[in-house]
Amino acid sequence: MERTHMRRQVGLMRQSLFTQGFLDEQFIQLEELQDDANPNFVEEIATLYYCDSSKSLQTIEQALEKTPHDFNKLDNHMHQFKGSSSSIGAKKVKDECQQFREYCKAGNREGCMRTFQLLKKEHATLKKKLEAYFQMARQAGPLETASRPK
Amino acid sequence: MQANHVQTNFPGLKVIVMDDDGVSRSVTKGLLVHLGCDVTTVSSSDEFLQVISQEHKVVFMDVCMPGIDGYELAARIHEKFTKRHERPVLVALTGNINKMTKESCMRVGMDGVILKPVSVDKMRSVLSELLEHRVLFEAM
Repeated sequence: MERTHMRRQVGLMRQSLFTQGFLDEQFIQLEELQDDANPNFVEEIATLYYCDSSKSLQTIEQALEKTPHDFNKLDNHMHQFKGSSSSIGAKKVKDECQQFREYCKAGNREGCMRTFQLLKKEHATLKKKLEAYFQMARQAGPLETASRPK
Repeated sequence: MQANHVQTNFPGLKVIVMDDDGVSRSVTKGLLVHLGCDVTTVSSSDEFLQVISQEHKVVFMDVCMPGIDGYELAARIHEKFTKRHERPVLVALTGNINKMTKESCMRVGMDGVILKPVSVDKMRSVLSELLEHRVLFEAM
């Protein structure tokens, strides 16, 4: 009963990540790749993303501190960051990346700075939510267990 | 393409994935492994040139790479494999498909270009199309 309740909570948590716009269809694609041979694929990819993206954000932050801004370089950094964010289905993060790139193209320093702060916030928020989700999912156990007949 | 012509699995198909972004590379690899492929991943053109062989049938390459980019690499692959049947099928992976990107890919002799991230169904139909026709340039 406890496990059933936990699984329901996991399902609701997962659903809210989509309805609140944190994740998009790509996350579902990653879930489709999870199988017996790769039972933790999604969490592994998310972990890799947060490891790599932290360094990327540092690089971008350092580039933003330099004056004058090299908008081409900033755009290139953000292009890559947007790509990896897209790969895990991080929708809000990806949207802020796109906005940042628009400001780069316009040479808008203030816009870049402002959007970067929003991007970091979305990145951190998603990280917390995914960590909580994966932790609860691990505690609830695999879905196959849930569907096992009594 | 009709659904009944789409191959559903590609056991042992040797594929190289080249992408300097670790997350994109891992996701593409996971996708191809899920479809049965034997996948080698590389993060640079230099690494790619060391591993490529006639055994590899398909290459998925990110075109925006530091150093030697995907476009230049495609040209080098054509120089290396002068006979078409020995050369792997070359597919550009890009975050932005527009007319210019498509024309650039065609100009350097790539066999196709697809938008990443790629879904399971899309990759399945891409591989099926490539193995049957050795080309994939969809109408834009």
